[in-house]
Amino acid sequence: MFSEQAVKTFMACRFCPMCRHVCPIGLTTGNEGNTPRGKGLLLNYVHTGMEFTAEMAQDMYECCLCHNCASECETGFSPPLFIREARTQAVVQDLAPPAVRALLDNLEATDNIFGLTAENVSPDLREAVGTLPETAPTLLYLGATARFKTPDIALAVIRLLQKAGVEFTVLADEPSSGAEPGDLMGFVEDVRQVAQKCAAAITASGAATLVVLDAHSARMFKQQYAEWGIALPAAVVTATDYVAGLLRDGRLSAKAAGVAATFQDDSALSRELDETETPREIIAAMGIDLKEMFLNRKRVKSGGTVLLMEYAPRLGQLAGEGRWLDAQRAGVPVLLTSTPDSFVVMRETQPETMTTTDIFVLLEQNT
Amino acid sequence: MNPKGYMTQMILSELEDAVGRDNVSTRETDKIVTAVDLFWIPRMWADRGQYPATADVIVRPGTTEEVAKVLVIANYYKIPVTTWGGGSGSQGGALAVTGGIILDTKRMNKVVEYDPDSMTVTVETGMNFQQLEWYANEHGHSLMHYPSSITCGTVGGFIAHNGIGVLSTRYGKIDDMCLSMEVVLPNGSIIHTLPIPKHSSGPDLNAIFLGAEGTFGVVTKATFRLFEMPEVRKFRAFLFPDLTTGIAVGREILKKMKPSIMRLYDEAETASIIKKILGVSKTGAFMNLALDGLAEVVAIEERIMIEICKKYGGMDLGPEYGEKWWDSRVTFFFPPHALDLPLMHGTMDSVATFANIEKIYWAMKHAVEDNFPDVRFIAHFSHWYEWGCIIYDRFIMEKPPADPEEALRLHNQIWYKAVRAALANGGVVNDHHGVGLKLGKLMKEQYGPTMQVLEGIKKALDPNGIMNPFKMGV
Repeated sequence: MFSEQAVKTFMACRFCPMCRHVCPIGLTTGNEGNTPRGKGLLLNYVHTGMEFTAEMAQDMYECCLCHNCASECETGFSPPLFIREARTQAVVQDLAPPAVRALLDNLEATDNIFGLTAENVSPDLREAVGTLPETAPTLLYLGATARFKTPDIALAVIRLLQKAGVEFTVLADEPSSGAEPGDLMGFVEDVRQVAQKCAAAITASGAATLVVLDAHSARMFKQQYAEWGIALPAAVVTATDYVAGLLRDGRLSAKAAGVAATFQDDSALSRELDETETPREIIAAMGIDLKEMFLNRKRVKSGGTVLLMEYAPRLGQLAGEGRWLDAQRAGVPVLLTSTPDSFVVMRETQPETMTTTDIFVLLEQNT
Repeated sequence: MNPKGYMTQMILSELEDAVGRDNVSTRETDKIVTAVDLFWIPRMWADRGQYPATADVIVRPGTTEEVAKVLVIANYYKIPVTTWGGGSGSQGGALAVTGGIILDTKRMNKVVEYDPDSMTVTVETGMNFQQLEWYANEHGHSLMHYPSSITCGTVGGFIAHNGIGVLSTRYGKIDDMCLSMEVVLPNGSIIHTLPIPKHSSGPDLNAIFLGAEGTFGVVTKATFRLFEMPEVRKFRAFLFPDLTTGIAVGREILKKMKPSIMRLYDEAETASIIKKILGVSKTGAFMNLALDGLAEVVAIEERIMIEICKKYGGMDLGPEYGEKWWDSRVTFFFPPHALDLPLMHGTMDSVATFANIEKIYWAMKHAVEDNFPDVRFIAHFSHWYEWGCIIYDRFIMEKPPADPEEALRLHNQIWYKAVRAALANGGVVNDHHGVGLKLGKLMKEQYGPTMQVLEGIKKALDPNGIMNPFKMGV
């Protein structure tokens, strides 16, 4: 039922409470089941004969896979490994919560969790993408959140690349990278096929460089594709890394934005892709007085994810609110984010006294 | 809870009315995850696939007032209430072994007041202690309470068993750090101890609730001392000829100064540490020390400390071991380093005066090794006072019985034998892990007729006996 590594991991975690201080869900709900130890203990019981139930399945989805537990584990155990495999069991045994099943249905029908199609993309973004060439040396991968929820961020990155004179394109009908289905049902064969389809589309674009705006997709391209042996013809670089490089090379230059702000690292970017400084380079290029937030860089406390908000809105709200308490202590009125996912979850839960701003949007306004 | 028919639902409705529907759960999974803490027995039970002793309902209050409402309901229906925090206790103190309500405090997780002038912080007791420490660090302060469980325990958990951290020799135990408390009594009354603990206005009521393990009420807020971060923390390690010499050194150092860390290891633990440091085997008693404070003051203290250690024949092993130990001090508590199943193990800490502490060491060592030949005994002495110190001694059995009932029986036999040896030689049931379910039986043996004081308090505050039944021996 579970891989050898997953069993080893939940057997290690089942009695170990050492990482609970960094779980963004457990800290805000106070629910004992919302800890890696709680989940590991339940799977220990399943391993010793207890039935895997719908309640257990639900518990496995009460996690935003931010990897803070794995990052804090001094001996290298990674609870997301067994949580993903338990989600596979939930789907296989038809025990996944209805809201999760609805997202899986959306993915099957439309290739994105929102159940939206190309017609739902904002006219401005459609028009901008429509003017780009069919093939180019660089391909910009936006991700579903940017395409459907934050077109302003997508447009800002497109304009920045244009200002820098980059020859690039964007796929008009961008396929899923497999990030969301991988989080919803684990890295199973169905998801591998999604990834293969995406890799084929990237190959067809003829690009040698793949710039990825969505951090979860970047993580898929850089790590999971390699694990599956899915070759990409293009070198994968995150949008933050790429734009920071354009600033470094003088292809973009920014003027002072004149704001004092704090910054929410994106968990996938900072922890899983080890990229903490490039967003700060972009922020520094605009002369922003950055007041670092409590728990930053690789230690960032997640404010949730768009995926979590879609299938468990209350948990998503609590996770975002929990992080805003930290942001407010920074004593500045603006919170900066560096990915569409982080922007959406923080903006959705934003208190009245604060504003959330994406660094690409701000940079585009100041170049 | 044993009501008939729809009465269960009636009571659940009342609880939902008190704390909100989202915060009352009868889900099987929520019962299981709050039924296993770090006590070896429930872990072994779970490891063997045995169903744990669970609560009937998990209630998660968000405020003191909600706690009060829950206790009023529980008291009326005579439903047991067991308070749960981080689930990191090793004595079974947070287990709902008679069913009833698990009162999970973790939604009460806010800093209420930060007072840099008085150097105090007031906090809700469901807050994770590491989160609180980080909060203080943001202001350049620290609570200086660094137990190995700092990342998992709640503020209330450390109050419940009167915990201790690795810097206690200088900064004290939780009862030295906690200035005042808000407590909800079993009848739902919300009371406050005096705003400060030092006065001549009657006895210090904090002392009744600190270490009471939730048997007298629920501590909902607490005010703690804050400390400035030390300018320097200097480590130094020594190897002494034997344990007796090491204890004498500790005693002498405490007459002159208060190191933040002073950890003396018995010969069994010393052997493995020395092999790692020197790469060769060497017998003796290893001591790791640290001094905190202003650089100038620490420099003077360090000179005097080294003089004392050398006077007793200590081999100076330099600062490197201590520095590395500090950086990795909690690594030992992560799997697979932490003592865990399939081993049987227990930490039987006791505390005594200098006159008795070595006697206790030998008595406990013999009690374990002479009666249970397959069981190892190791110890160190890690929290020191001017009058004595604690012994942090552990037993380890590589292959405990496979049968869970046999394993439970043997586990308890070892504990009873060893703790009775401590009691017979001037020790106490426990120093800082608490009594819980594990050691409740020995409380009457320890206190004798004095136990009626604790029993009287229990009877007066909790006449229906709803609070944390079968814990702390009351």
